[in-house]
Amino acid sequence: MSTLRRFSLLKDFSDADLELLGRLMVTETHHRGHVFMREGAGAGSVRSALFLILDGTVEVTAARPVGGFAVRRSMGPGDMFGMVGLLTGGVRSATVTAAGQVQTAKLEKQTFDLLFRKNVGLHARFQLAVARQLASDIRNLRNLVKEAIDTGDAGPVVERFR
Amino acid sequence: MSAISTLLVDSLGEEGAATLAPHFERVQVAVNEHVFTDGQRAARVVFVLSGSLEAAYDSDGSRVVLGQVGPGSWLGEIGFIDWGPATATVLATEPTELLCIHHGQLLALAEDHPAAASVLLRHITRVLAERLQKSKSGILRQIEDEEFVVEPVEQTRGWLSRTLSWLVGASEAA
Repeated sequence: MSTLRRFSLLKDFSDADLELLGRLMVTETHHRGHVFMREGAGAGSVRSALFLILDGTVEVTAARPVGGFAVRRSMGPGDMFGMVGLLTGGVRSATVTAAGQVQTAKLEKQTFDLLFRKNVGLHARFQLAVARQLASDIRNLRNLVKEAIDTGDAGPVVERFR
Repeated sequence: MSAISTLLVDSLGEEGAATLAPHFERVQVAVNEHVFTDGQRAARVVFVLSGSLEAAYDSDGSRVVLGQVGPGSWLGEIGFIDWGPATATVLATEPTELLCIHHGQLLALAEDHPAAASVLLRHITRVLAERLQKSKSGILRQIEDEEFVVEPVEQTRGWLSRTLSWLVGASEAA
């Protein structure tokens, strides 16, 4: 339970919620090169899942507009990925690969969907937490872009994405 | 709500629209009336049934139009979720009819009508994720060229404004 509370998305969840989520998750260890999800693949399949990184590092890559692939960022313990696909079933926006040995806690989409019937309150709180995270990301980026427009200087935006 | 809008069905699917429709308030908006004002709290999400709206922001005292928003569009998701200030000014350019749900209804909806809350949150999550992805991709397309150089200010403001319109949902005009 204390492990799950380290994840910012889950920090406001009650002990009871985290205990139940912990019971629904499966801990797995993967080796370097393991592909957790692939850019462009549908996220709506029953094999879709949310991954919490407990140990190790993953690399997030995506096709570059000018060709080839680029590492967008690395993620490590305390980070999670796959949350939007878990909720919406959209297409994956990036490929996530293990950079070394990685330990994750996995919540499968099928299990999450069943949670709606078993504990609808927790299901809704989880949806709201993901929506809040996205709203915060958009608001931060909007403020950065707005400031760049006001000053006529795109530098801070360019730096953020390079 | 007497009849479920076909636009709402197009947006949420038949089951989702039927589940959520009873929880909307129908609102008429007059020309030049603000639906959202940049920087002011307006914790409601709206769905445009008819009419036309304009999204804009203020920069150095001037109003810069980001785009038109028409029937079938959603607006206000961010403030609805985080109860923060509006990210742009949105006003009606034609008599407009909206469906609204206020932030205060969300928790009650989650408690009393979880299926409706789930439909709404799933939709908002999808919309926000798409906007964020589209905006990030647009920025990357702009800057990822190895030969990217600093452009004249007006050109820079052009692509930044386009990005801003994606972020606030002003480019989803019908």
